[in-house]
Amino acid sequence: MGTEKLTIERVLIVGAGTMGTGLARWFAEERMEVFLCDVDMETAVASRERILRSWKRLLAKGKLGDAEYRLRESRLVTLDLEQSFPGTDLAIEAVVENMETKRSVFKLLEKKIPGAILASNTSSLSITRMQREIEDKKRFLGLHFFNPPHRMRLVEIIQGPGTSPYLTEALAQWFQERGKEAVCCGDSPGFIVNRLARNFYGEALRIVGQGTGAIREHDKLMREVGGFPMGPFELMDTIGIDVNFEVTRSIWEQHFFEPRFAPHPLQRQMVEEGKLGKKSGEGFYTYG
Amino acid sequence: MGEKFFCLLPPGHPLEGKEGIESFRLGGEIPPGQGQFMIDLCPEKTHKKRALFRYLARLQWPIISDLSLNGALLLHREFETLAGSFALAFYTPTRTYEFYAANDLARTHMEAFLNLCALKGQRVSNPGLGFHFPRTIAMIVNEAYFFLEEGRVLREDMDRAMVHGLNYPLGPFAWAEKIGKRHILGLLEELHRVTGDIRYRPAVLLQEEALA
Repeated sequence: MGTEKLTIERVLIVGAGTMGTGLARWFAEERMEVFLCDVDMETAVASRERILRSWKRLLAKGKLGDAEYRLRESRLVTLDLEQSFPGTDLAIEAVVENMETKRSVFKLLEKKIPGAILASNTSSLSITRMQREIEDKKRFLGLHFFNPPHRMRLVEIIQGPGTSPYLTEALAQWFQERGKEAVCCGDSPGFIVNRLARNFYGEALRIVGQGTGAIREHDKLMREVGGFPMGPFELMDTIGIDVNFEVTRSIWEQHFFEPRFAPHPLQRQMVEEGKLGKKSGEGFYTYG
Repeated sequence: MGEKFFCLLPPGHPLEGKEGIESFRLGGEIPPGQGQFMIDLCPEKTHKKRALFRYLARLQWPIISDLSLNGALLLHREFETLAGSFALAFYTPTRTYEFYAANDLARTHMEAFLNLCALKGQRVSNPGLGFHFPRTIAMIVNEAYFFLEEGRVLREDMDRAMVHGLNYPLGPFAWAEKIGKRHILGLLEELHRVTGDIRYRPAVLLQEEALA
């Protein structure tokens, strides 16, 4: 693998959940041929239908031409994982955050599409650990997109110890040329965003936990003084207090219990009380 | 004729010479107070603040102070003459700054002062240790320095990631430049000293750059 310009024409997305659906949509909108698959074929078909409905709405509003719609529709194909994916240049897994599941996906992909770039969309698992059993390590890396990927510009490109630096660089350029903001980093728990954002929540929890501020007051100050789009408590309620707690705990554990990443007892208490945020109707705020 | 503000300013402060401001220097001669507040805008370490507040108390000045780098809550408990505090040393992209006023007289005076400076204020119920925004941003910047020390990522990529991934108004290094690394280091050292919690220890690279 040298410094030649990267050609990506066919992309395989494994996992048709929220992230997989968003990724399939973005790549298809960028005129790639997209193979979308899932262990459950019905999920993949439903995911494709959702994407088509979104494009149809744009078509009805006159924001998408008929020819473009038909082109995208023809380029977005659902396949069974057992089928072949001819000519795939890039495969991205977006399956559940479970190391064994992801490793079994890559084991299969290595056999089916030798020579393709293999990427994981994990937000919390070790790229280094995943790469260990990949034979062609130089073609494996992390591509961490943000939800919803067809709207959020950022993609974190995570270089494992065996990843070709040329590949990382070429992919960064490839994404930049298509309107994404590509940032690169070596494998590290939480990568960039999830690591640096820990203290946005951690300090908020400590300020409130020490009794030197109130939840609503802190959120307001972060928005109106700091200029952040949302306060940390509002954001935790939106993400899910349980999800945020687990991400914090995972990063803390992977950093060998470094105090800078330590979760706060208030997070655990909220989870134990079943106050998980918007999805449960109550979190730091009450909904509905 | 508008309200007059008595201000203790560090050298080169933009308020020096501004209409409505009567300014004094740290270490310079200060006349006895006449009932109005002395607004201290010198971000300093806590032991220097204590010495200053004792001096101003002897001169019978009620004090409003920039406590961006200090455990403001503790100083308010310690000094009855301390009537209000700001966090003006930590740049914000909104031109809005946190302030704590112990009474309505101080609040009115602080709001009028912020107005003169074309700034907005958000009154807090408790200044805590390092207010809300300065403490949070100092920790985000510190983490960015720890990550930078590991040599796995570039500053520019961290800045772009936080702006485009979470819609932060600035990335951590851009924020550090605007605020000043010395201020960030000063607040972290104070949080570390007051709480005894090692989560606040500053990254070595931040210390190097702040003290360079």
